Parts: sequence; structure tokens; C-alpha cells
Amino acid sequence: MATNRRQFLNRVLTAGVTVLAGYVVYPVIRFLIPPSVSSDEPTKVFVTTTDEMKPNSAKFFRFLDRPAVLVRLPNGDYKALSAKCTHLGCTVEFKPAKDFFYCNCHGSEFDINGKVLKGPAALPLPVYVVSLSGNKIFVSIQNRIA
Amino acid sequence: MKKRIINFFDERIDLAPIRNWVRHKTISQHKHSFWYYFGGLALFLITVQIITGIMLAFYYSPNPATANESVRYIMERVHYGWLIRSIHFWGANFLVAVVFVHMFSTYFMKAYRKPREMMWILGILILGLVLAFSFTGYLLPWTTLSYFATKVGVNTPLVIPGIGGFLARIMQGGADVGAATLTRMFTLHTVVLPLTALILISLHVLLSQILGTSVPLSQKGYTEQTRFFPDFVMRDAAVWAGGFAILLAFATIFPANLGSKVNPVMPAPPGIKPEWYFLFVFQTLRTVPEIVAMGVITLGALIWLLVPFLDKKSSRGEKSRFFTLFGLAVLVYMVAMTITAYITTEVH
Ligand code: HEM
Ligand code: FES
Repeated sequence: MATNRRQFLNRVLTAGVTVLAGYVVYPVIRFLIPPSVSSDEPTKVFVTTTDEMKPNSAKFFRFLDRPAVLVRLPNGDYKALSAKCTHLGCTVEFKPAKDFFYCNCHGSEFDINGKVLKGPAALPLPVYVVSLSGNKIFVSIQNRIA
Repeated sequence: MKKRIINFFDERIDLAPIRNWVRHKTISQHKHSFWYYFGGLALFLITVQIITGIMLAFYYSPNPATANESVRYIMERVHYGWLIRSIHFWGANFLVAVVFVHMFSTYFMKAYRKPREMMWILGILILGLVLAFSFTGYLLPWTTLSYFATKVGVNTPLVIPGIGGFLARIMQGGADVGAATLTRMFTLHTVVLPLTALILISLHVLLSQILGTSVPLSQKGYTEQTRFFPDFVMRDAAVWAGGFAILLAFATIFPANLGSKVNPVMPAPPGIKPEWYFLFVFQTLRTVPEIVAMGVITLGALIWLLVPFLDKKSSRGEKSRFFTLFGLAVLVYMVAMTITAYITTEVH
């Protein structure tokens, strides 16, 4: 009987300490996980003006907290894509001669619409929407376009 | 004077047990004793890293706007700054090499066998810490190369299903490698890792003193005893002095250089590859699908960690050919993958 009571109390104590430890550990772990990107991150940004974009040139800029690229094709069309390689995150390079993006880290290639031409990347580069207002070029995300 | 100081302590705390222990401690010497110097050398190099690291931290500023500039300031303006940084840079490379040699030599001598299992496990954890030190330190100069190498490093866990994204986020401190990552890497490099290392290394060294050095099975009966003090300590000190001389020679003849500051929005330049000791992982990731590579490396590391418990023969004092061959296979694999990575990236 005496040992039983002792065992019982030991168990209660162990459970209590475990719960307490949880109370300490949980906030610590939550603290270490960074808060998600705030929703007030602009979903539409001004990039440059049309006078500054020669045909067959690219301009890199920051959008949605990651690198992005605006390309003016030889025919004058504009394209905007995420420049963050979908493999392991390096910033891709624009190869004007062949109109594609090349990643120097492990050699992935993407066409002008972001489609994978050559691995190791498996997913396409996200494409953004380009809009012109006078000579100003804006880039925004597809699904939130007004 | 010396006598007075010793007496001062002796009157208050009895030092006799320590003195006796030092006087009577002996070390077994045998044909393969040479390899045992690498453990002491690793301890010495870690001390050098801690001292030079603290010195660098007096001037270093962990912010994307100032990090590269502060390292440039250390290199160009601070008296002997180039030397201290170069010692820290080369010391890191030497340390990784010495710890690897120490690990493989104790492996092939089966020094992990009972009763030294915990020493092996602590040793592997310390190797992990040394690699973590190198990975986190690498980002600090905030150069194009260090930026993209870190980016690839923190994104590699993404291939692990489920928790991969979580791991990458915790290391990055945000959606992408940036200011938050630099703060995290700096805190890990200068606070978390040194404290953890201090605890694990103390335990490892404490155990080595309690258990003494092991004698390889093949050398049983062919050993001589040397006094720990002063004979062995003097030899160890000579090795440390030699190691320090080589380290200084490298630091002065080939000072660490400082790459240009990264502009994270601009494309990654050609030739991004990890430091030499991560190349075998890098090459494995390039050769087979990533998920397979991560699986194989994780499983391999786990087996390696648990070797003292798997190799029952050695613990019973029998020869275990299988584990010798296994160690050899691991060594050959790592060397071959590293060489392949060198050759293939040079061609690129
Ligand atoms: C096992 C121990 C350590 C290793 C292997 C190590 C490794 C490294 C490496 C590889 C770098 C980058 C070097 C470069 O390219 O410039 C670095 C930088 C740095 N480390 Fe350490 N480190 C260690 C301990 C420490 C400690 C204990 C501190 C401070 C408390 C420290 C402070 C620094 C600082 C401030 C830098 C940035 C300056 C620079 O990049 O030259 N390190 N470390
Ligand atoms: S990060 Fe672009 S190919 Fe690996």
C-alpha cells in the first residue's frame, strides 16, 4: 500500500514536471520560428520605365521578398518572373542570346515563360503580370490583379 | 614564490589527489600511437578558433549593410587584422581535416569498442559541431560566394518531405536568405555552438582521462608505458607547436581573401560550390535524385554513429574484418566523391 502510494505520487510528479517542461519548451520553439511574411508586403511594384528597357535586356529587382526579373523581348513584349531558382534558391541569370534563364548553381535552365528546360529544377519559375501605365512598368501577382 | 602559491591552495583545498594522479598516470605506447596526437591537436586548434573568433567578434558587425565592410575593415585597417582573420580561416580548414583524421584513425583502431562507446558518440557530435561552425561562419563575410553557398545549404533540407520546409525556415529566419539569416548564423556561430562545444568537448576529454587511451587489439602485449607527465605532455606540446607553426605559415603566405559584397538580387555567378569538406555531399546530391541522396547520407551517418553498438565482435576483443572494410568503403566513397566534384566543377 505504502509503495503504491509512493508510486502514484511519483507518477503524478513526473506528469506534472513533463507538463511544466512543455510549457517552457513550446514558447521557445514558437519563438524560433519566424513569423510569416506580413500580408502588407506590396503585391504590385513599380520596376522601371520603358525608356530604360532596351529590347533583349533584363532588369533584376526585389518582389515579394525574393529576387525577380523583368525581361524585354526582342519583339518588345515584357515578361516578369521570379528569379529564384526552384531547385535550391540561387538567383538565375538571363541569357539574352538564347532567351532563357540559366542557374549557375547546378545548371537548371528555364524558358522565357518559366518552364523547366533542363533539371535538376522540377518546378517552373512563377510568372508575374506586367502592366504599363504611361511609360511606367509595374509588376504584380496574377491572382490579385485588380 | 611558486612554493608559497602552491602552499596557499594546499592549505585550503587538498591538492594531493591531483598531484598523485598526475604523477602516476601512464600512457600506453605502441606502433600506432602516432595517430593519438590528432585528438590533442584538434583540442588545440579549437582553442585557437575560440581565441581568434572572439577577437574578430570585437570588430565584426552582423548586418547585411555592414558585414562585408566590417570584415574589410579588419583586413585593411585593424592592426594584424588580416593575420587574425587568416588564422581563423585556415584554422577552420585545418580543424576539419584534423577531426576527420582523428575520427578515421580511432575508427580503424576500433577504439570505439566497449567501454568507450560514449567517447565515439561524443566525437561524432563534435564533428557535427565543427561542420556547423564552418557552415555558419562561412556566411558571415557576406560575399557573393558565401551568400549563394548558404542559400543552397539552407534549401537542401527542402527535399525532405514534411519537415523540410520547416527546417529551412528555422535556419533562414525568414522567407529567403537575408538579414535575419545573418543574425541567426552569427548567434549560432558565436554563442550557441561555442557553448555546446565546450560542454561536449569537456565530456569527451574527461572520459578520455577516466578511461585512458585504448590499445588496438593487434597491439595487445606489444605496448610500453610512458609517464603522462612530463613525457607525454611535452610530446603533445611539441605537436601543438608544430601545428601552430604550419598554421601561421599558411596564414601569412596565403592570407584569406575577401570576396565582393553580395547583391542578393543579382544572378549567382558561375562556380558556386561548397567548401571542400561538403563536396562529397554536394556530389552525391548531383549524382542521384536528392531524396535518395539525403536518405543514404542520413542512414550512413546513423550507422556510423551507432558503430560501437553494431560491432559486437570488437567489444568482445575479436577481430572484426567487416567493420574494417565498412570503414574503408566509407573513406574511399568520400574521397572519390570529393575528387569527382573537383574535376567536374572545374570543367564546368
Ligand atoms: C570550431 C570553431 C570555429 C570554426 C570551425 C569557425 C569557422 C569559421 C569560418 C569558416 C569563418 C569564415 C571565414 C571567412 O571566410 O572569413 C568564420 C568567421 C567568423 N568567426 Fe568563426 N569559427 C569557429 C569559432 C568561432 C568562435 C568561438 C567565434 C566567436 C566567439 C567566432 C567568430 C567568428 C567571426 C566574428 C567571423 C566573421 C569574420 C570573418 O568572416 O572573417 N568563430 N568562422
Ligand atoms: S539552385 Fe538553381 S540549379 Fe540548383
